[in-house]
Amino acid sequence: MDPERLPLSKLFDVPFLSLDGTSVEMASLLFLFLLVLVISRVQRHRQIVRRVVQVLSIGFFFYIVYSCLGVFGMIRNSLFGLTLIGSAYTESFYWMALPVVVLSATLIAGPVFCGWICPTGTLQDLADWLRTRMAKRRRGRLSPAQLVVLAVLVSGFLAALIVLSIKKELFVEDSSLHWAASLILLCYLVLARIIDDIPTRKLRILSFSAIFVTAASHLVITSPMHFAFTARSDPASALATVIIMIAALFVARSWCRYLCPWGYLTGLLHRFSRLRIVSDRAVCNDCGVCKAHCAVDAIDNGRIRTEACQFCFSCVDHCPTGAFQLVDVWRLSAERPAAPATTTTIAEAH
Amino acid sequence: MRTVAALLGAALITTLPAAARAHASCSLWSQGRCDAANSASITIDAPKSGPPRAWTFDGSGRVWGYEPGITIWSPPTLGMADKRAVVAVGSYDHTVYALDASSGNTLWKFTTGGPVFAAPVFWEADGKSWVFVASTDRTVYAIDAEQGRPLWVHEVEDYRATIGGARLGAPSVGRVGSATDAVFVSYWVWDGSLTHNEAHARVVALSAREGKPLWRSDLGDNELTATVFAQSSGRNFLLLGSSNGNVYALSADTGRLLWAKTELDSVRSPPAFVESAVGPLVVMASKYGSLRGLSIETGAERWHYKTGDRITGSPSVLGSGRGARVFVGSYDRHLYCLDAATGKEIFAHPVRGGIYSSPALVPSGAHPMVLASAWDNQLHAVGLSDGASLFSIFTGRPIWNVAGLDESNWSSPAAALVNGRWMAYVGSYDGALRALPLEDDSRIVPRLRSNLGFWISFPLALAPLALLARALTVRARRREGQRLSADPFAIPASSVLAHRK
Repeated sequence: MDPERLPLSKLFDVPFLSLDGTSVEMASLLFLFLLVLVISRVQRHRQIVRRVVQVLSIGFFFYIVYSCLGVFGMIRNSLFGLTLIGSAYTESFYWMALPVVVLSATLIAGPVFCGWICPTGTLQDLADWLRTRMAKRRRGRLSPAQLVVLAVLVSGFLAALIVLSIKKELFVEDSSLHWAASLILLCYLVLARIIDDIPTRKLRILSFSAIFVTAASHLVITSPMHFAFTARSDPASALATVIIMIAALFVARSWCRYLCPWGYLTGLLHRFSRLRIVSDRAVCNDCGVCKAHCAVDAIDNGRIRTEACQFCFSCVDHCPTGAFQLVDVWRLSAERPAAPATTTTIAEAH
Repeated sequence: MRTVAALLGAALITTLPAAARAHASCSLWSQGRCDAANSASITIDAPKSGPPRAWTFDGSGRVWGYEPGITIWSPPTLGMADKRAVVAVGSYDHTVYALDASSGNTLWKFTTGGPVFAAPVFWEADGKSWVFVASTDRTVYAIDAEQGRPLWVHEVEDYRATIGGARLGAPSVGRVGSATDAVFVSYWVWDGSLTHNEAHARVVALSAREGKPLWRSDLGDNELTATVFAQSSGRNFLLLGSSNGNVYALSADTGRLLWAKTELDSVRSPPAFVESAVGPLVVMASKYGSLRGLSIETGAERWHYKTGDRITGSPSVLGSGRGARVFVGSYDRHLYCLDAATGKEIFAHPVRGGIYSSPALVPSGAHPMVLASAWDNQLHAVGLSDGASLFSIFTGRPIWNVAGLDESNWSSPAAALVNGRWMAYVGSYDGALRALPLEDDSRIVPRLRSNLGFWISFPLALAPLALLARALTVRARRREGQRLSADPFAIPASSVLAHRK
């Protein structure tokens, strides 16, 4: 072959090299979203179906969608994809595609990724389910003795870190441990009533900013759950995941509440998303069933905090009076500029 | 009696390096690790290159930070071009760089259609130097080593719209038959589309001068290592491993499979060939942690040695016949030296991290040594004869964490006697290629890995976080008049912004 005349196919071939092996991942994720969009409309046994989808999603993530789709990886990938616009469009598409799918789906259909698909959320739900099996007590109410036990657990975690680090078992550059330690510290402070749940949720902005800055400066960060998605041995990431599950035993979905950067982004987008769950105050009898079933404490007095809602539909399915409804906000806005008289939502405090 | 034993021992120690000297340093880097013994060391007398010095070629700005952690990073190779000593190295930025081995100056660069993870190799014909490059764009390039111009290109797999990338092993230059110079390239290509979900592992032989295909051999659908060309008893062999756990021996003349030895785990590195005291052997290593000596004729096992953890680098062989030794690094944090004929351990040198690289041998000079990179971020230099630690050099922080270790074949060091001075060339994981003089006493200043950054960053991260959370809580409580102190999960009324009526 004449080296000066490369085959014409190269013109098409080379740009697509970066996409190798990703079509299955993309198709899988799109399929997941479509599946959720369709079956979340089915009201019968919706919570059981949600659990099935969550288990299915973990399988999808473990076996198919594994390339850097951690909560941190998606931010890092998006930034890198942005830098390629103008020079390598297809590669840019590859790096940005998965985050764009998640955010677009949030804008169109609400934060279904958090409530139905996210494997980290599923693991936390599993921990929460175990807690309800073990103790019927309401979460967040610990006696002083229990707080002491919890303090010992936190200290034990830090001691384990020290031992592992001294023995060089951990690559100390792995920052997933920083996030795990932050999470367990925050949970302890919340349970000890030194800090409160709702104000602490603003720290997700900090978490997102930290990821953004480190990704922009090409610093290495690894998500919790990273070890699972990539099927590799990663003691730091595995330890961080265990810590997230332990934290969820005490504060349900604590990772989502306090530190998840994607939770911050999806919550932000949910303010403008097409679908939203709203409550009818005329029907609500203030029984509190919805608040009891909401894993992220997104409901207060029958009102939903938009940025905290994860679209699990627990409130809709458990409300004895049927006060909660899924509403197409965009259509409502187009048809009636003024919102329905009796629906109520809570937007973000600031 | 004791005196005789001492004299015999001393004679053995002094003669081993001498015997090795004649065999270890190859003259042309025509395979991934220079020769069939994987010695990774070469002697170059280059009049146009001055005395070599320490230098660093910073490629980090051209490489996206974390990609090398999940793939293969090209080891440097050395050769001669226009009477200059040249270091060639592939990069993730699709480019092959040729640098002056003495000064680090860029002589030329050649951009392919994909990241280059395989080691480029050199060849000389008609008084000219060639470089063969296998890129992940499924293409083998023959390049003029002096000018950096392409001489021929060959696409190993035909294009189709849905085909994905490929992993091509380092080319090896040998012969098909008795007269035809050939380039052998192993490759693994896949199509990840929903309609064509398939993978192929193949070896192709190309004529070295024109790039015309001579034969092609199918070896299943698993990733292959680079090939090693070996000659024994007048026959041409091609040796390679596969991630399906097989070591294959092919006839280099026809591509016909001669034998396959199945290992208990994947084989991530090319085997080595040695003319040992018990006959010609193939020395293979696997992720199972095994090292085996196999007859090159039949694949029958002659000896077996088990290390404590996986082996991802190639074994290197020093010498031949009696006294031939095998060097290999293991993830069990030891560099092993074994007798090539019996597989018996001669020494095991401990380091503070798993050894991921293939060793490079420095058989002569004031301190004959073996070089190997480990996950303690050091390049270790160990005495060839006794396993004594000579020095170690900090080669940079990893840009990827422990997660990617067993999925990667990281760059291995290369050694070269350039104009009478031994140098090591190390592609580090921070994107830099470093040239390190090996006989400069001022260089022996090992920098220990420190956890200081970790211990500083932990309180720096946690303390402000807790303080900020507390400040947010205090502000919220003040606004709510201490309403929240009774229940940390209570929702402040101030968060109710929109009541639609």
